[in-house]
Amino acid sequence: MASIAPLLLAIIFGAASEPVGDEPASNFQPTNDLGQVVIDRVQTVFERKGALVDVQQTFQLSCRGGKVFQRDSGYMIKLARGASEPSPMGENDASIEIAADSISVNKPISQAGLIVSVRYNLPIRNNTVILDQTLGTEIVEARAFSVWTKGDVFLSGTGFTSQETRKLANGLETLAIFARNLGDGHLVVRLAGLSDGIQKPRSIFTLYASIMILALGIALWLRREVSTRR
Amino acid sequence: MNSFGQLLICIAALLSAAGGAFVLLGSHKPRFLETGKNLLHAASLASAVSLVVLVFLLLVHDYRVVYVRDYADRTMSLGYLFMAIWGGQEGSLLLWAAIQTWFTSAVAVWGTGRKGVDSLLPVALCFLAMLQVFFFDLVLFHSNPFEPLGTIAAHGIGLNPLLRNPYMAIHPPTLYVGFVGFSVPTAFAIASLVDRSPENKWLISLRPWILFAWVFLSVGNILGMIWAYEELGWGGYWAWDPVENASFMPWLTGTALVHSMMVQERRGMFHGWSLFLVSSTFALIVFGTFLTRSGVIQSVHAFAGATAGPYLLGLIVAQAALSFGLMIWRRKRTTDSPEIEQVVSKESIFLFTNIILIISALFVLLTTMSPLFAEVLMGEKVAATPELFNKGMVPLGLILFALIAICANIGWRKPSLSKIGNRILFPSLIGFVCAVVATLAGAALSGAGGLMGYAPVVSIGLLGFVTSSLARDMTRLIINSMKHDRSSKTARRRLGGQLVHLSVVLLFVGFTGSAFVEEKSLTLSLGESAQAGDYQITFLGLREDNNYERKAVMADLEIEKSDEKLGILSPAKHVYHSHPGQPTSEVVIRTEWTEDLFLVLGEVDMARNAALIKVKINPLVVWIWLGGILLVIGTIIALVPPNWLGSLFSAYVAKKRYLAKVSAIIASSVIVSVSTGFATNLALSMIAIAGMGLLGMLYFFGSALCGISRLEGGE
Repeated sequence: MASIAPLLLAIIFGAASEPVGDEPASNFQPTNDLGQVVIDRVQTVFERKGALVDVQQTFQLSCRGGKVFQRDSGYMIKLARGASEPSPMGENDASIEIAADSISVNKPISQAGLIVSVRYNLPIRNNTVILDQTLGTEIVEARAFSVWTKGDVFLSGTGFTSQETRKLANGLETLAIFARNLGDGHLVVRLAGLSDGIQKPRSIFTLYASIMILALGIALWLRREVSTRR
Repeated sequence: MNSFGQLLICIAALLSAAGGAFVLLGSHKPRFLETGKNLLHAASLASAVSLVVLVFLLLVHDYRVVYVRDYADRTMSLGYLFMAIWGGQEGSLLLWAAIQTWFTSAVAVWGTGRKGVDSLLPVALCFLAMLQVFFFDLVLFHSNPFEPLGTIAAHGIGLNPLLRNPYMAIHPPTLYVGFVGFSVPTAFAIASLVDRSPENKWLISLRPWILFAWVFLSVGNILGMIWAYEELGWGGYWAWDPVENASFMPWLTGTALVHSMMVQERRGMFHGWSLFLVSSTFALIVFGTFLTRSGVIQSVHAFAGATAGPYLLGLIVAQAALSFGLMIWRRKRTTDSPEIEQVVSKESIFLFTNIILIISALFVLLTTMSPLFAEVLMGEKVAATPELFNKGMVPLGLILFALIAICANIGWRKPSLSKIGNRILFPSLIGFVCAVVATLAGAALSGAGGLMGYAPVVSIGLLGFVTSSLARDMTRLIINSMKHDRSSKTARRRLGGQLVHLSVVLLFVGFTGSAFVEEKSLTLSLGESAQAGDYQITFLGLREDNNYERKAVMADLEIEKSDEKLGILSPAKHVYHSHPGQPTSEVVIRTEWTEDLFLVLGEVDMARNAALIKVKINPLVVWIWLGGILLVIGTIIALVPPNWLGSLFSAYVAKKRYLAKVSAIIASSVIVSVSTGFATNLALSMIAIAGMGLLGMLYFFGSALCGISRLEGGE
């Protein structure tokens, strides 16, 4: 059975916290090597098998005063082996659709967010079921997307100019071009800012605390029982 | 919102742990006990609110949550969205934990100030609290219904089509109530063994709890049978599936416990038996849950992808070690009781009944586990078939059935043998005549060999024997109770018990009918007719019936019997949009008093307008369902005292502090939810109810803190 190498792709746009417009944001450092960076990153985790790319639209966001000011069009990278449409999907097809769309103007970026639509197939392996899910075609709240750099540092911009978003879009396009050679893929789109990292510590604390409280209670009771019997 | 739900589970777990510790320390200091009870009440409200949050997430289709994505979709109706709470492992475990907290709260209220039970309350509540902590931590770590997806799904997958049946709306919750209900006598059993007092009357006080749990377990089993009969499409209601057996085994030992309790109440005997049966029943309940959720045994009922096995196995080992270890340590106290004075006596029959029930439970357990044992020990793959189960359970069932009648004709202690003989003569004759008539009518199954072939004859004979015994006993009971009003409470209990036995008669009528099932497969084209039993079936054609939820292909069949047109029945095949690869059969059942006509649509050929129709004629099935109804009625009569309304009011007045608080919370929740537009905005109502629950939780937590501060003040 074909093996699947995971491709971890996380794209983060930070929430705007200060007015931006045509002026560059204070802490975003766009790089001309963005595309190369993305390719390098993907290369470390992905095995080339080949896929078609259908770049349908371009996308950019303009922000002003922490709000989405202008939206051009959505950006979609669609990969499908032997087809321009993602369905029906074959056993070894992988598809990623990254679309930013349906963002209302004059809304804070924390409410605008981005839509990430990821569609992927896992081939049958050990009689497991093929998963075929389209994730996320609705507006999500306060989701940040970032592009990984070589040093695994997230680029979390506080707002982007048109020029910056165009560069980011170029990075995505580069990814798409690279992913033309994509084969089987396990695609994970991770949205930062979610609490999945917070859940585990809370659960661990609860487990340890509840056991300790009960153990303490039982120990004190036993001590009392023994002393009473004496 | 899902983070909030998870936070509530954490809070509930911590409150349960703190409550358990405080109630345990309350065995020496009453104020600790009050504090602990308040903490446990707060935990029960926290768990209730967490369920409300889950309902809210399902109602608003929040597909950022894994559980909502997996078990809800936009085509599901409101009822099924609620049902999705227990549609998956995560939600069902949270529901179990929540029910556990509610039972603990109820025990805390009920046991306070009750003679014989009050002294055992601290340890019992601590045990129940530990169970709560276990289930909450299992939910947190292993099966979290509030797990975030990490992104947002465009749509949900929705409930498995097999679960989209009204009986699935009530079958799991009733079973869980039964399962959790048996944790209460287990807790008190452990408490009594830990306690230095030799008082054994606590079990009698727990009678309502045991009966309550038992009847819910019974109803849960029967509802599961109805669901299987209607939904699975194979025409039967019991397949000895491992998950079915998982709820049947504790029912067997629970039934033995109910009988054992009667002997203890009447004669002060069987205390050791009762303790053993209490512990075994709960161990089997957890073991059954282990089977359902561990994946060790394949079953159509098992939760998909479930791997909570190791934790549940740990719970079984811990509980069994604690219960049986304490029993061994206190064996002198548990075995010291009056002896049976005569072999032929009611006590003996009860003892024999217990032994048969335990053997039955053991047989079911070992046969269910035999595929696993065979694979592990011998490397062979074997299947535990229904025929194998029937070979063992049919004779055992018939023996138990006979014991019902024998017991009704035998008295306590040292009954006169001649009187027994006189009483048993007439029913025996009736039974014998029934058996002879059955044999002459060809009831013996020539296909099945040996004893199994005569099982229907024996069953019919026993039906006559048992029915006539019960009828005479119940008539005598009613007449006596009308004459001597002072014994009405006892008479009510006995009448209720005999009604339950009568329900077993009805069940056996249905079970006997299953030996005479007729089955036929018909391939019909448009306009063609075929005969199946006494029915003439004419195929009128195929049609499609699609809606937002599913696509359906239906076959219209005109049914005639003895030249009388009975109408048109339309079995169907459904394919839900959310589960395109899982077509389900929607069977059609035409029920009469004597038989069911069961129709299943098999393969269809739309082009040629032809279909394969499976026809099954199931005799006497409706008597099983009637037996279930009678079982509930009988238990209610046995359980509820004659002046129940007055007793309830007295209890309310006596415990008005606690009940007033609970009533106020419930009433406020109802009022607020109605005023926020229950009918039009259910999601908003959920928020209102959650708010009320949180206020209640804070109230009890505050009371507990006040209690702690008074303790620190040296009061």
